[in-house]
Amino acid sequence: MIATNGPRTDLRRSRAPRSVRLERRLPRWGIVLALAIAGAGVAAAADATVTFVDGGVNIRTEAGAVRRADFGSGVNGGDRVITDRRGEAELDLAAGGTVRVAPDTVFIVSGTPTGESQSRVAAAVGSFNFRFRAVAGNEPRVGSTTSVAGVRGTELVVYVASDGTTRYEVIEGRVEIDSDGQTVALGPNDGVEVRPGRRPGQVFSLLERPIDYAVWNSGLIDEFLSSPIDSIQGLAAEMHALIDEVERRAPQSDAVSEKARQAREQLDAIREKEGDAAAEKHFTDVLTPLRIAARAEFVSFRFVVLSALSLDQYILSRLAAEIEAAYFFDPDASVLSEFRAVLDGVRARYERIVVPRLVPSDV
Amino acid sequence: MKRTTITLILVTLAVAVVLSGCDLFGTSPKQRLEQFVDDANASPRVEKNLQDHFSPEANDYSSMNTSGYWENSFFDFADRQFRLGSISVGDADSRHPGSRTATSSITSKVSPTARPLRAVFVRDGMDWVIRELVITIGESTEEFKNIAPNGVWSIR
Repeated sequence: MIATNGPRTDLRRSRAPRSVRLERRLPRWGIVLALAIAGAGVAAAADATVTFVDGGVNIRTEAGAVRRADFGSGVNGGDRVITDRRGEAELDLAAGGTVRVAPDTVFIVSGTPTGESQSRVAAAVGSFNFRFRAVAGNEPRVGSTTSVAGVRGTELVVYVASDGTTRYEVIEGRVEIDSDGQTVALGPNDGVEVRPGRRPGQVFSLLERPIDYAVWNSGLIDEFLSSPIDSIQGLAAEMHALIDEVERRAPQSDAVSEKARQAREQLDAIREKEGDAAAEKHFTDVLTPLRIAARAEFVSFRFVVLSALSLDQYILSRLAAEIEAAYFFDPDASVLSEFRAVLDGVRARYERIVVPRLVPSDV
Repeated sequence: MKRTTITLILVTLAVAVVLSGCDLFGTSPKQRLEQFVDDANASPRVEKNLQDHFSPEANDYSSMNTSGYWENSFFDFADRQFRLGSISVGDADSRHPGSRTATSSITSKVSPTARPLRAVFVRDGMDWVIRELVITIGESTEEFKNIAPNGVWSIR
């Protein structure tokens, strides 16, 4: 606001907008130079980098912070690339692969847990095209929260439907799919669909079954709504398998951590009784290796916990919303009650066994 | 005259930045390492604060917001009184283009012997964050060789 009265003429100058006052003190190109200096630190180096973005594309970190994806943005272990209906992105992976993320997709890079040799890339829902070009033997594991493929010098496309069904299409190379105890091998132009908790379906030729993702996904949702109990039972089986894995690994992880804790407690006693040299030897030769082993176990365990979280957040919650909407005017329908019973059953177990293993910043 | 002086200052500043590679803005590698150790010594500890010092590209990043991760590391909460030696910041690590490295030493309440420490930093906006942190702790005994072959505690 600029005063107009006579006595306030001097104030008018001092109350001019800040940016105007700045311009009067520095030449315009000086501002540009200052901004250039400030901007020099902005350029980011990242192992996994966004190399193309079009439309609405966001990156959500594990901590929950959301930022717009841009050229050069880093997509890192635990981050999710989320594309809207018109969004697309292309990423260069640290492992040497390239990923093209399609519209309407939640794409996750899980990084490489310590002690494991392979990183993981997966879609929670949606589709992506993956091409791996680095030296064979270091390829990531690729898939969804409900199924995973091992790849060898490969280009493949992965679609994940809202009901958790995963469709693999191999463009180049070889892929092996494991699900429910069965392994299927795919070559170039082969495809297969894997329903949650089920064995892989029949291998088909891509030329015979081309796909439009929206139509495919919509068709699967319609199939889900026509037989929601079958779908939820398959997903519940998948979630139960993850929960079983959490239950199996938890005592293992806890036991190794407990060993490391005991070794830590012994250290003080050793120092008191036997002196610094003995304590140093205990720290180097006993405590440190135990801690390294315990940490590796813990990180692998965490990955299973976070997979269960993703399945609940992106698949189960979405399908629950779909069926509640479909039966909004018929809340007493028996199929809805049955669906809820299955979902509540698996969620009760999930909340009892998995949720205590999460930390607040996970959700 | 005033305009000339300001121009000269800006140009000098720009040249200084280019020639020295100094970090005028954001958190430098040295500051990042010092802040990490400060947060490791803090009581009560907030694990999320420790995680925030690392690049999300670090392999164990998704576990770094948990106490279970850090209690099985050199930076166990029970061992705090972590002290860094003098920090020397150097050139990029060849595996991470555009990175910076730092070497130092570190001690703790239970490890008064100074252990060599090496860190690799990458940019996150205007800040440097830790991409790798490696502390060398002697050599393992034969019994544990397959678990920790070099006695090296590391985040990669």
